[in-house]
Amino acid sequence: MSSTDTKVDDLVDRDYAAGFVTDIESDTFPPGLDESVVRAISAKKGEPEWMTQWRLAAFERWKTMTPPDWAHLNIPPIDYQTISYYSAPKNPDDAPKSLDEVDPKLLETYDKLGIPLLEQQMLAGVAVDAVFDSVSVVTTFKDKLKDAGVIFCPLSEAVHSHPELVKNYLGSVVPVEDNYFACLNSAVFSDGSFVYVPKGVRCPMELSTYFRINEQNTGQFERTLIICEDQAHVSYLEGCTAPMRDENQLHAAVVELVALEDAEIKYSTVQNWYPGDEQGKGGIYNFVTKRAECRGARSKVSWTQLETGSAVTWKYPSCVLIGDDSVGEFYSVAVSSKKQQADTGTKMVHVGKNTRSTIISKGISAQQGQNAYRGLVRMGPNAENGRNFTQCDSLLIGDQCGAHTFPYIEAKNPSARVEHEATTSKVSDDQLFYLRQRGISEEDALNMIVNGFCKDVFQKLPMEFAVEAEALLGITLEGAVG
Amino acid sequence: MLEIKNLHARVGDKPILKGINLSVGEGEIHAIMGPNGSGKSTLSSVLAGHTDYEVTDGEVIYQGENLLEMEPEERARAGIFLSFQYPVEVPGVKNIYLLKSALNAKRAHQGLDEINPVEFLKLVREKLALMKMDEAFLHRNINEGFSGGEKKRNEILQMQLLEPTLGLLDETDSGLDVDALRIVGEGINHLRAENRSFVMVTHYQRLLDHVKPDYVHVLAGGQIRASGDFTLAQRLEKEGYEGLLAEA
Amino acid sequence: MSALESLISHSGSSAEQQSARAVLARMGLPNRRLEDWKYLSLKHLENEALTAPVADFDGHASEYDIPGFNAARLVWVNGIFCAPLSDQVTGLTWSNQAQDLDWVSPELDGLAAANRAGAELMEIQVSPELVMPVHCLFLSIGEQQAAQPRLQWRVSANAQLEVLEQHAGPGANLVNMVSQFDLAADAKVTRYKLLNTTQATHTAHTHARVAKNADFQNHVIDLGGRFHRDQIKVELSEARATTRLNGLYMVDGRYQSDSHTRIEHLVPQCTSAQHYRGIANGRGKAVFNGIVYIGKNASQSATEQKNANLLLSNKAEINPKPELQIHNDDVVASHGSTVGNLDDDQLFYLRQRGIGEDEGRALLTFAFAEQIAQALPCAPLAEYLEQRIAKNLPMDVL
Repeated sequence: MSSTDTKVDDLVDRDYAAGFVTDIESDTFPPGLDESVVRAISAKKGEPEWMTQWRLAAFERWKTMTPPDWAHLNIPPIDYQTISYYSAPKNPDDAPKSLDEVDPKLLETYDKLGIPLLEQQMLAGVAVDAVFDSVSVVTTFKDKLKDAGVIFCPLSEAVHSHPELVKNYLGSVVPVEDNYFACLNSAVFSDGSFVYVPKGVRCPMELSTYFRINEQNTGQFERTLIICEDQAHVSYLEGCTAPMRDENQLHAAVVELVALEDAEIKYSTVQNWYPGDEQGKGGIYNFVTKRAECRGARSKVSWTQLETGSAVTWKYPSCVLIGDDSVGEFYSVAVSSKKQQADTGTKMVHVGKNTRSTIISKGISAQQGQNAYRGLVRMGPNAENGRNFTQCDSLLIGDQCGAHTFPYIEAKNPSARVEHEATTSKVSDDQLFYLRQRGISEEDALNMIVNGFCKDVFQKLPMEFAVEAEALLGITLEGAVG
Repeated sequence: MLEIKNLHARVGDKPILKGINLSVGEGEIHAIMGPNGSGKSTLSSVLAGHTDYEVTDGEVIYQGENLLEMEPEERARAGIFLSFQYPVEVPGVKNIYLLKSALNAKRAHQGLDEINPVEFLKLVREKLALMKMDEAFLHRNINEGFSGGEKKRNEILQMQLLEPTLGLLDETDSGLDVDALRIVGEGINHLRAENRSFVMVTHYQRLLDHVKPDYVHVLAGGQIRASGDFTLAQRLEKEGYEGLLAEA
Repeated sequence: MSALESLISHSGSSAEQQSARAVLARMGLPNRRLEDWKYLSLKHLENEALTAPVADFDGHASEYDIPGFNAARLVWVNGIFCAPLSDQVTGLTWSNQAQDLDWVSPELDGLAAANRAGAELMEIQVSPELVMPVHCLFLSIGEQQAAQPRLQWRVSANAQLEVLEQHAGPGANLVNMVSQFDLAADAKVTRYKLLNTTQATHTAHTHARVAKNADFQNHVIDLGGRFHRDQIKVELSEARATTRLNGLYMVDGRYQSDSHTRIEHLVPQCTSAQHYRGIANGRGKAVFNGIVYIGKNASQSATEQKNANLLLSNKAEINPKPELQIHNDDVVASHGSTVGNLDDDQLFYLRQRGIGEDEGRALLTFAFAEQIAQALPCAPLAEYLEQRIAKNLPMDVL
């Protein structure tokens, strides 16, 4: 393995392309969290009183909670009083004036990912007001959505424009007190997306592909709420294959999905946040609570994710299958290298009859990366004929990394069936040699093996995303061999 | 012996049999041939009472009784034997246990006492020899780790022992090499008798060369589209299903 | 008085026992807030005062013999070793003067602390002269006594030990046991643990350390009882050490069974395998938690873990959790766990052969458990177990 090790190290020694530092904006709250900060956040956003009260109740609850402690996550204690809980959107004056001012390595990465020039400018933080074209593009799509009856706007806007919907659904899937980070988010959430697809409507486009740039600066406490009425369909894409520029170290997002009868939500995530340097310093801590409720009969929710970034990721997109015949799916590729720690997985809670769930999780660990799958499959007493299949594979590259599997199964219905399988393997020298003997370069061979390993999951991503995901995986492991 | 009238059956929401009519007399051998997906395996499963299939219309009279009202084990005890296309593996249960339990279940149905162990062993050995199978085979778990040929031989061995009145042979020739096919063919021929009938479901003619049918039916789209004697099978071999069905 | 208070009051007087007593007082008995005790708990002991054990047995130990299993018999009554009921056998020597290995440390949990505080250690030396199997019979007689046997097996190089540890008797006691197995190079231990008590609360910690080329095999058969918890840890501490852990747990009524395994691969070239099967009927509850840990240095490790569960009733519950913790890439590791009811295709196959539905179900249930019986490398025990499994089923399937 020594040859592979050296190469992986080469890869790591490349600095994170997007890791430049910007000055902290002036319009930022001083560090610390108390009731006045929560009130101030709410006031900054001009929120109605009910929203302010909701935040305050969450804050009161949060004060009584203790941070989680898991044997396999090695996190130095976070001092929540040293963090600033509000920063205003960036001042265009501080941004690079053109791509010429941007780190050429970053641009190289964008090129490899095939990101259009316009998006490159936005991702690199080039002042957006210079790009008039994009506005018209965005406006065109907004009109199209409006015609279909789909509401797609920042949550902060929905609080004003659709207060009843927000009141009804916010916190209904992830209760305020659900966990430490969700509770913190409820108190101080910055912004995020609000999606409402009315009855019978199939959303005419993948949401967020063309808007992801606008989704920047939603801050460290993002909050997303998606509601699909009966027979409605939506595909939502979150994140970005391009490295994210972000100076907030702690991220605690909450995502809530509600699917009513025959509704279908497909939620895809590609996350590539700064993982930290060789010592794991400076990387982002990503504690996300994502949960979907399949409330209606025959509703379906699919989570698909590619996780390559963050220093610490703690994320379990889950499905509560309440409606009879509802379906939950989880497809995940998580890559951890350097000193990254990824603790991801899912919960499939089968409540209704004939509910089905599928879990395909692929973990790739390289260098000193630690990858853990933590999952729960629960067949409740009324989950007649419930079915779950879980396949959980780990691929190890190098002898310093780790792969861990913690699947919980709770079965309370005799007609239900749960199957869990897991394997752990390494990229073997034999495999590499075999492919090289056929004339394939070592790097391509590694890519081929890793992509083959992830194929089941990439197939589930929307086409456009899938191509980027494969490219991203290639770049992530670039230099790992020859 | 067996009267099938206007039989309709579906699996889930999908109709597969769409009005089968077939009459099988005592001592007759019927071959049901048809392309993939025509419903031939469904027919044998429905006759055996598989729970995945729902009969939506029609009737089946077996020896004067309504077959469709009988439980799978009642049908078996009344002499219907299904040789499975894919014999199921049952880890942890030995072959000899199955043979003995099945035989005794049938004997009880006929009002006979349990077979005595010595007689049973003698009988089983005789059948094993006929199927050219080793005795060690009795102590292996049902079909577990068997090759395709061994599984099919095991099916015919069970049939030898249970001496059914109606044998349903579902693709018994698939997965067999030339020697195994001959042994299986001989096993079936050995059972031919005036009061015993067979319905053989098959895609190819190869088993029919060993076991000559009295009647050949072509099943397509859930219905019997053509019937005839052995020459129909020979025509099928030459013209293929498409040619023959176009003509019909 | 609670069980905890009684256990604290029954502590011995040595310095180690007193320090373990302090640990017990600090930690208390395990409760459901502990990850390892998430699903089943000792709540029923909360208000149960326990008395010190009395070795009072006037029956015949031979009643508990397994037909065909010819072994030297050692007998404990309520955790107290009874020399007059036990056989002397060449190759086996015991003493109660030995130094405690303390592998099952009091810090592990309240039960480990209670055992360390209250038990008398018995060390059994096994030499290569031992040729006969050993039958350790642990009888539980009476009620509300705290039986706390503590055994330490020292198996010397090249020695072979085949031991049946049988827990039996009608007693409604707490049996809180600790076993430590020290396997020297090239030693081989095959241990069968038969849990045959229905009224006792049985909790056990076993810790084995396996040296070069040595092999430790453990087969646990839990035939069902009020509360049975079996926790085992095996350290593969030198090259080419091997282990196999098999288990069968069957719960019906309100029985509870809690199995925890942990295998640690600490050095290169070790192999391990696990196969646990469980059946839950009635209002029975079962837990299987199997952990395989592969350390940084443990290259060329191979491990396999299989767990299958049959859930037969609406009120029964099964919670399996097969865990892998892998820190080395040169590893072949797999695990699988299933929960479900009987296979419909298998049932149909049997019915097509004329076997009635109820009998078919009984047969398939028997067959499910039989796979663990078949894997027992001891024919008389396998036969005994088959009969016992068949007895628990509604039909005669043998």
